[in-house]
Amino acid sequence: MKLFNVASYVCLQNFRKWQVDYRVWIIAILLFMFTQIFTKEIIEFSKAINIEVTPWIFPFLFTQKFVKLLFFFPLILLFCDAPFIDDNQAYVIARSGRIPWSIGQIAYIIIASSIYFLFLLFLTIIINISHIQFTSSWGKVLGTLANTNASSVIGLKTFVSRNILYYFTPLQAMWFTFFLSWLVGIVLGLVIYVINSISNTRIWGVLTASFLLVLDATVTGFPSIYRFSPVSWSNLDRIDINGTTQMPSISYIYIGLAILIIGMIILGIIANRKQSIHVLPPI
Amino acid sequence: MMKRRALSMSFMQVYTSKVFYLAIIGVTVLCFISVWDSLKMPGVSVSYLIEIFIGLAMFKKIVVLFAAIPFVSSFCSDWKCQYIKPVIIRSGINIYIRAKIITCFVTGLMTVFLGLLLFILVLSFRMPIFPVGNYGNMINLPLAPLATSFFPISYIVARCFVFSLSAALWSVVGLTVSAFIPIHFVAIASTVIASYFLEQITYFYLPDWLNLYKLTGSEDVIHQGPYISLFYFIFVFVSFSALAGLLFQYQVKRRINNEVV
Repeated sequence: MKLFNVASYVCLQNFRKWQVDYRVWIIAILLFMFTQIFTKEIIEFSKAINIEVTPWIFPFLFTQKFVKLLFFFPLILLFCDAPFIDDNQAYVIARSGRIPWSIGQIAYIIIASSIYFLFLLFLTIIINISHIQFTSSWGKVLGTLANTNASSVIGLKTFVSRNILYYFTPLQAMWFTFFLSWLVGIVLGLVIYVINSISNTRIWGVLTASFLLVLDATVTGFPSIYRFSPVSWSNLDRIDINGTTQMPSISYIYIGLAILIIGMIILGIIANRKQSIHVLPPI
Repeated sequence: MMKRRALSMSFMQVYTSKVFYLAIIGVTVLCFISVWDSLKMPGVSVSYLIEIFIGLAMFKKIVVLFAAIPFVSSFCSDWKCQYIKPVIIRSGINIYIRAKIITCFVTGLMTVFLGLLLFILVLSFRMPIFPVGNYGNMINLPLAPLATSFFPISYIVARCFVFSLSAALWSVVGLTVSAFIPIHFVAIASTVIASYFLEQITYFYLPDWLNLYKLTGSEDVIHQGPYISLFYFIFVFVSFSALAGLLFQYQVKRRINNEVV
């Protein structure tokens, strides 16, 4: 119990630094900008046909491969200084011990990733609140964009998938998109954490996570390869729902993500136990 | 003499750095990514792809980031490592500041402009510069007469140049922000953020002739010929950059005088 109490203090300390961390504020502003830019056409379309849009835009926010790069890149920026060793961490490690410290840092990645995607989810609603109608259905605007060529006529930059509308209710789509994105965010954060801890640098972890991101954009259009690209698993349109495609099933994705996350947590803790502490300048 | 030395030192800092050349290649790669889906369309031409990139593409905001990478955070390095002191002692504060602003503007301009020219060059091996037949509806005023002049490619070059001018402006804005918050990450990211917010503000609250969004897309805001419009675009972007430069000067002087805690 004491171990988890100490770990929670280590984790909370990272969040307290957010108030004065320019990087976090800039990431928030970038996300605001990107969300506004990539939902603008949907709102303009809803104004043009005089029908309000439903608040379920989030599942379609990063369905386009290059847009997904833009939305996931700030997440890499958020974790790019993992394992978060700044000036005072040497004292924190001395007081807490290595294992509770590692658990605290990993918990920070897990919680920060959830906050990141919750923030995005609420941004899609808050930014467009004046044009949103709260109903439990997908609504006519998203339905028209998915089932007609309206999206290409208005130059929509994201992709409103017909399959998502067909197979999921809005709440299911919102939950699964959030949940899978969160898990993928944890994987990316842990990749940076583990590789930076092992290499004692900041660059290799970021490069590996960026490679995984670019891999997602590269494999688009090759369904049989999606199962080797963890970042692709956050997209509902890339999941085999009824067993008729070569894309990975939801069970495969859950098992794959669980193995990746648990494996990297263990690796991270082992790496931290033997890691020499080098304080690097803040980014 | 000292002024020229300070300027050449700044320029040497940029042009002997690999980052500058990588940023140019980055701009070219980004251009290709932006128009990737349109590359395989039948009858596509270089001018059409440039129109798509400058007018519609989602990545044009990110180009500003590449313009910022080579030099915008240089003040942060100077300040954090205190390289600024020996330079100021020898050259004087005003010369140092002017050299920084001019180098930042020129570097931002060159990075994007050379990146776009490389993009055009590579494309021109695979497709015609202008579409075959009547392409009057695909070129926009005020620079359209350049496309029918003796040297038609000047239309595309002029459009790219105006777009690059805007990137140069945002680079100087990033440099200014770095004087207030001397953090590398903030300096580079602030170029994208400033371009977004200032374009939005000028779009909604200022007349067309000061609308940075329309000026970046070299739209017909003053209803004059191509050359006058081109000079106007240069004048506006240089003036805004000078304004940002004044702010930079103000803050750097405060820092040097130990007025910033």
